Amino acid sequence: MGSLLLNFFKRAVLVPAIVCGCFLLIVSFVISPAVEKSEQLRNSVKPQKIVNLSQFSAGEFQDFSQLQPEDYICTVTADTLPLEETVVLFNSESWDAAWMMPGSTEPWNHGCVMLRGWNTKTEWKGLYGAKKGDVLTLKFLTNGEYRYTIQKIIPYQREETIANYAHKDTLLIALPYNDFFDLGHRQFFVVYVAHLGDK
Amino acid sequence: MTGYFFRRLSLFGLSMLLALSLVTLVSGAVAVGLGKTQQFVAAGVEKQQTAVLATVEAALQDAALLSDLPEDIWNGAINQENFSIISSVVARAFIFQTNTDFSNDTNLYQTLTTHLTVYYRTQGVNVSGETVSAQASFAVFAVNEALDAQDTAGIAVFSLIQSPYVMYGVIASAFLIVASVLGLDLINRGRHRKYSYIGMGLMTAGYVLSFVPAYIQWRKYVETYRFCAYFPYDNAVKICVNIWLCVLLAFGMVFFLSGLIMLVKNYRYMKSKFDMKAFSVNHDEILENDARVLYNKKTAMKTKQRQTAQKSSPPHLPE
Repeated sequence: MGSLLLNFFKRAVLVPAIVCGCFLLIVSFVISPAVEKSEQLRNSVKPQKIVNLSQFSAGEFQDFSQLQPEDYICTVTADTLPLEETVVLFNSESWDAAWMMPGSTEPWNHGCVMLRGWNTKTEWKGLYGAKKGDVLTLKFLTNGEYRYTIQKIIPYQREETIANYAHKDTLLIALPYNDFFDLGHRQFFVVYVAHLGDK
Repeated sequence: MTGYFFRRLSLFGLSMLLALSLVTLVSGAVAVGLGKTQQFVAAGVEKQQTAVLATVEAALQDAALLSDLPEDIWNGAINQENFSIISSVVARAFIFQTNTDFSNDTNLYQTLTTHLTVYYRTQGVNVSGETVSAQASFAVFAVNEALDAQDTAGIAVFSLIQSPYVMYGVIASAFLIVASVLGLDLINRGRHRKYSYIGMGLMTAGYVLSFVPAYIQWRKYVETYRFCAYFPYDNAVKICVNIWLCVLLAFGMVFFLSGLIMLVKNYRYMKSKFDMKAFSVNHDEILENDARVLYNKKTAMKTKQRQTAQKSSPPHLPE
């Protein structure tokens, strides 16, 4: 009789409890660090993405006319925006870099830099949150850094009207979005007009 | 002795295999079944509609200001009635592990266009269809930028559900359950004792499926874990995970009860067998005793008869 009860206790309580205890230990060893890591991520500032320039063909240039297609021009960063560092290439329409529009002129010659891209995860992501007064920085490899302050944000622009905002010492960034009236054929742009110099 | 030990060990091993397979099967099937159901995930998102609607309204207000339109032009454009336009896209993004993309969402565009048309009509303003479309297109872009900025592509729970290994695990555990039950039956040669091992497996699965979700809830792991950066989405995922844990707990209770019933029935069966054996032993003893008494009685009677016969017969005199 005693051995029957002991067997019952062993199978109904003891063994399941030991196995369950092992599971709880595993859960606490696996989940606890993951939860702590996610909390650390929440509290920490998102690290700035570091662009590996070695993957681009980068050379010295004094004039944009010296550039070849796919040549690296500069990167765009923002101090106050969650903008990923965007790489600008010359005459490229690749999905992971922005490119310079024709008619752009060098900032060191008081020119106007006109940039656009596809608004994907790697270009201009987070730019839409920009407000007037936010600062964007163009970092050239050998020609220094140029800080521009956003002065105007203009939606409903077409590709051909972007150049209308080109002035001396200006940076134009065109952020594309769908025109549902003509879906798949034409796009609208939000144009960010920024002037050289801090606020 | 060695054979007996290995037999017991293999029975125990098969019982634990049954338990682990049940845990894998149920947790995997529940995770995949619920996590891949758009209505279930969308219901989680809809519980966060106040926060999401606040983000959408702020984005539309900014869009109106940038477009030099009245600030209240988009008021109520996306509301509780048509929130499913948003929630279904977000749920799909969770399930398929992509970013929430509204940039080509014609449902959202149509809703905003209709809202704008009604707005202009009530204001008595005559605006061309192309202008309305352009304004609605920009509003779609604004909503997309506000909600798409949130990364939904790397949510750990949904990444796991999307993984094919979960389905492989579920299928493999279904086979292992059948194999372990057959193994237990074969080793026990069909005898009733197999139920005690199956019961132990069910009980173990019940304990694990009940206590582990309860422990996770008690330690507030789900509440503190950050599934994604945007808090309404994060809360929506938490709602889904909590429901998932509750379903596991319910399954755990079912397994626990079935295991307990099986073990109690097995205990009663074994006890009755034990009692029967005890009764039959006593009965034999009684019979044996009775036989001995009868034998003694018979022997005594025979002795008495002999003695009586000796007394009644005349003494044999020598001639």
